[in-house]
Amino acid sequence: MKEHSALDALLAPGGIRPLYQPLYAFTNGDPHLFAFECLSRGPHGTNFERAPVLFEYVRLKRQEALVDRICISTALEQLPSMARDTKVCVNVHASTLARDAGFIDFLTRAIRKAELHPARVIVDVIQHAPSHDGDGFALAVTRLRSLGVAIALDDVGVGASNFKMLLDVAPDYLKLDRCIVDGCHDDSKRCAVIESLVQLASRLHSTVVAEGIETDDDLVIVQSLGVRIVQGFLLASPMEGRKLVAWPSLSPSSAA
Amino acid sequence: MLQATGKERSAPRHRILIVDDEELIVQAMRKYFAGLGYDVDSAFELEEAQALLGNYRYDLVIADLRLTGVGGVEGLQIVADVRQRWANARVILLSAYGTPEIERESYQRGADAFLHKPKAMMEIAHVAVNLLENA
Repeated sequence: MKEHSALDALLAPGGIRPLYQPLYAFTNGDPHLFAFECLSRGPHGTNFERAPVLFEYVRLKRQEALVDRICISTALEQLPSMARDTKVCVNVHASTLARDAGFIDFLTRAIRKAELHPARVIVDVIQHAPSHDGDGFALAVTRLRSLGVAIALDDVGVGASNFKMLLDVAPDYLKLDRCIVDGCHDDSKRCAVIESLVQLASRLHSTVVAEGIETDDDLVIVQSLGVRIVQGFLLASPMEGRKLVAWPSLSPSSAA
Repeated sequence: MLQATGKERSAPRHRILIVDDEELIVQAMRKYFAGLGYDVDSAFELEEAQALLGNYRYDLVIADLRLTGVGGVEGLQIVADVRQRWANARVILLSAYGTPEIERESYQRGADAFLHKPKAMMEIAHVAVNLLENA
């Protein structure tokens, strides 16, 4: 038998590797660096290099809260210095917010330690299953607001990131899942969904972020539909912190 | 290594998942099936296998019955998970501890083959290739 489970390896120092992916905001057609999303990967040479496998495993092991903490602390500890108006997105499971009573205090300390102003932080809420602890979740959302961070709802349009979550969280940002965005340039149904979500977000005083932009055609279309913040391999891949230092703040096309 | 017949050589790049808690067995099986031209993933524990099954489609899953030591029957759960997702995927269970009852239950849950360990790699491969060719 293997002496240690994969979970042991993930929880050990260095078991989670932080990566950072830029988000760009377009103003009058010109892009500028808006934020970096902190992403996490497992050890090289394992199945957990693949983020969906990593987090599905963590959820099956019911270790979301612990791993969320490790991912955030690792990402913020290795966060290079960057322009002061660039925001930082960190991911957290809705279940962690609902059940980990100490999470907000942990996050407060981690943000302070990283010398980030809370207004620069966006907490990206991932919802993979209906929460069974509505009170705990609601309290955590209230405390996040008090802390001064912004809240994003991840994977909007798929799974459990549904309309009830929109009502419960009242997010500052709606991150449209790539499965809605990808291929929208020649799919009128995808365009209709994106357009309606942009309108909905506007009514809810929220801002739409399109994830998974991989082609120029999709980029042009989402912009024409009213999306102003985008993320995807077309603009920039997830990268290690050391590459972040030299990352251009204005145009993705000028990146090395 | 299994003698590659014309049929085996022409096999499409099926995707195989190997699940066993014995690292050496996993390594040997990965190498063997990759050498036969298959795309191979592997997992050492139930949840790792389930995380892969939740994200990728496999044509064949070869799983050990026991993944957590004495008394474990995690392989049965893997059979059920595969069957729940894909009617046409093939599943082979391996076990050194298979009783007739366990073997019967394996087939009831949808296993396509139940092989008693120890089994030569070539025998496992013959069963696997036949299942894939006739899927």
